[in-house]
Amino acid sequence: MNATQDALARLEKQMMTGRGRWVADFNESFRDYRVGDVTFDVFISGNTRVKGFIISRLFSFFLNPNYEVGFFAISTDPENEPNPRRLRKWILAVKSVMTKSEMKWAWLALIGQSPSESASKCVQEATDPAVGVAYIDVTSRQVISADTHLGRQLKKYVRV
Amino acid sequence: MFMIQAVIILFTPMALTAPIWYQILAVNVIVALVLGWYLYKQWYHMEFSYDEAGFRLRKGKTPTVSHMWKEFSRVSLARNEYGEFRVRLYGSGDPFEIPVSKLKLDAFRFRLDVMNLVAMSQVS
Repeated sequence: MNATQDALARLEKQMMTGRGRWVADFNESFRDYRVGDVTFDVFISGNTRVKGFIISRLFSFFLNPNYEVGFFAISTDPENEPNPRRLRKWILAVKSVMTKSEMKWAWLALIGQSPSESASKCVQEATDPAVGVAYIDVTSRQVISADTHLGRQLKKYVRV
Repeated sequence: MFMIQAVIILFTPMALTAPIWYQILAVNVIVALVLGWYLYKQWYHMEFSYDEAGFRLRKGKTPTVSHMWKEFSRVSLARNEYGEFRVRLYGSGDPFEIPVSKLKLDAFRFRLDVMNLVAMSQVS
């Protein structure tokens, strides 16, 4: 398994059993999830109303909104680096799933190694308020996020 | 059964039960072990086997369920509210779930194996 695939596997596990659970109950994960001509390496659907035993369930019922949410991850390489056109295509694919599943928001994590300056800039400028975008650099273990609330949140909850 | 026994002991004079406390405890432990084992085998014990063509799953004494991988087109890994993982197989009918946590399998790795098996069955 190469570094990117390894990071993808760890990220999926984090979302389903680790830090991701503080944000939403990410409960169903698909690998190689195809939306039109875009294939996401990981797609995890979830709900912000976290389930649990009596107290957490009650707490969640009264305090948390009942939103369907999603987490998408796509691995990138130098030939598949994010550029404005490509990122727009990925975001549109995310949004089509969001519409179909009535999701309120989604995270899109791009995983790769040593992104170019233009790719980093492109991620930072992704301003869609319903889709939080972040680039996870496996080499430097840094996360570059879009300058939106969801983007910053994704950066906070992701550990490489 | 344990409730009835507890009530009987509660209303029996202590002088009568005190000499046989250890015997009562021993009987209870044996009954609990036998009953527990029987109930486990009857309802919870799982038998699962798979190969390149399909899989067989049996829970307790219910009839064995068998499916071919080619009946399914999409695989997901689902987690329930108790933190248990299931590999969910989507086909033309209702999704079928393999309770991987209960089978003590590595959920993430087994899901990838199942994805490969399903993909291979579509090709052949």
